[in-house]
Amino acid sequence: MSAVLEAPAPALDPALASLVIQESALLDAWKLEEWLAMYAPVCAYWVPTEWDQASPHDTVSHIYDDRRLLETRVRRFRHAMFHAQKPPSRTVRLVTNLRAGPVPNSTLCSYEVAEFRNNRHRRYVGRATHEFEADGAGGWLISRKRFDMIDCDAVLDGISIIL
Amino acid sequence: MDMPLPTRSRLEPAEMVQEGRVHRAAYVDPAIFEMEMDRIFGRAWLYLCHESQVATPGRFFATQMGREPVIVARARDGVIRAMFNRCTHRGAKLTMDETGQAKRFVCCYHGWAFDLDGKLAEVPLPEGYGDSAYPPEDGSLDLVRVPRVENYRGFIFASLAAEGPTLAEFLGPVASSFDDMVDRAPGGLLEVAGGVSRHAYDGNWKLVIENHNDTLHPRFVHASSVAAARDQKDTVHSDGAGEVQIKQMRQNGAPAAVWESLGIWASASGHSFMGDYHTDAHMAARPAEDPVQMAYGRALEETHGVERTEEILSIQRFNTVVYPNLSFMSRFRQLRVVQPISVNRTVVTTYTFRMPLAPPEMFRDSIAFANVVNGVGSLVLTDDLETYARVQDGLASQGGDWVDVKRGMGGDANEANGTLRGQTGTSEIHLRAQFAAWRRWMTA
Repeated sequence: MSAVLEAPAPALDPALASLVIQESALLDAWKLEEWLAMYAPVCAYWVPTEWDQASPHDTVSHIYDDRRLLETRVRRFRHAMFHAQKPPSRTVRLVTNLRAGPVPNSTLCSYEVAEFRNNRHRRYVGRATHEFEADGAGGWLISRKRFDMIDCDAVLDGISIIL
Repeated sequence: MDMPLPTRSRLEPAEMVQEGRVHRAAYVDPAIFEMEMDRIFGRAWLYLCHESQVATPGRFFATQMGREPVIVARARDGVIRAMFNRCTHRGAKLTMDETGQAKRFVCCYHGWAFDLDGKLAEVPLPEGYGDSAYPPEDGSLDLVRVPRVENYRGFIFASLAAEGPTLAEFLGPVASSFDDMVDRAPGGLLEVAGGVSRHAYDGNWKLVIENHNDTLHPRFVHASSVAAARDQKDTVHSDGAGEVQIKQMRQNGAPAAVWESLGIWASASGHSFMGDYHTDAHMAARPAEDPVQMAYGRALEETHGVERTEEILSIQRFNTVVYPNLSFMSRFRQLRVVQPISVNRTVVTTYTFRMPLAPPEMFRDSIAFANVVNGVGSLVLTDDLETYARVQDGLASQGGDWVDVKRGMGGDANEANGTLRGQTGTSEIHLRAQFAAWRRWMTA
């Protein structure tokens, strides 16, 4: 029996849960600027190449964006010559088994992004961890989103969407 | 009624490469692909790994040479050998791990055990194999060795052909790019570190090899990331990772005059390298007066002395392509191995190198740089991969049979180091050199 299952599960904060749902809905709706506004001024969006990867700074990642790069990533979607988004992707995200995460003010969920683009259907499946910080006005901002794909160490084709 | 079917390869390989043009069959014909695996990947020197990946006895690394799965292992005698990853009994692959530490390679099927040098050491229940002794003493059931393995300054290559030019002859003037990479490392020490980036695309293996020294494409292919990076406010928080990546994207937007003035050099073996287009000194994120950069300079001076250090740092190279399937950045310590899967599917594996005696911040920069140049979610690479797939799609069409590689033709100049230099930095001299080599391999 693993320690994880034996430990008393901390309660999931419904406010954080609804933000995870909202985050994924904004991405599906391609409301990327609104999505970016959910993130803190110091934040990270991270898709590691290794299961249980310890650091984004000593091992390569599929994606590791700090706030500055995340803004650049979002801006690129509005450029007419983003070739890898011609035709654009259609996406649906599934958030399930949502529960309290490993650190205070965090959530963990099973996460799937289904993408359809250029006659091809792809799936990105794994576990997503969201960490939050208080925004000073009674709400929360995402300080870190980490998506560990079950095939993180596989050979992958280009990923042009935000996961 | 008999209609003539369109033939996929109306030309022989010798006729597919003509002055300033290449027939599309070289990219789309499965029969040509098989011929390439036999005649090019079956004979040329192919990069296997860096010696740091097999640093001590028992360390092994499994890879591919064209279609052939091979194990590279350092045996107890310290010698690095390459062997086919195939049990000599019934043919099972011996190891599925890409890297590891082994005492022996033991087959999962009937337990035949091979020493690190490939010798068949033990056969369980040997009496059942008949009168002759198992394992046989003549070595006839030892693992089949790759006939030639050579090491150039820590970079290990092998050839599936028993005879041919030496590695030094094969590399010729591009050996200097390996020198550049090693000389830039304090103490001459380099090690593969930081995990592996892998990506795939729906296109022929030649497309990525052609693109790495194509200096005309960034302004078109990478327009979206250049513009997005240019418009980014640098006052927004970065932990350093974004800063490196954004700087690299902005460099891709260098003015046409910068690209035109770059050097591009190609050799008779089909290899090529281009000059560096980075205006910052030595690392995308760090100007010369940066404390990390200065500490690095001091570490280099301890190895080489002041004068030689200056000479080493004055070399300005970006990508070097070793034909057919290796591409590396000597100054940025990224090395990419191109693995053909089929005529229209290719896998690229990227390794990042750490300099153990350099300031640790430089490795952190290298990781960020790897993510922007070679990550599957990179703002830059994604547009390259999309472009390869579109080229492959277009070349499958009969709307034109030829690929045009004339840019800069007629202006190639002989250089003292045995290379040809393109008329300008955007010359397609590297494509003409690659296809001259392709034609030689395919017809000889």
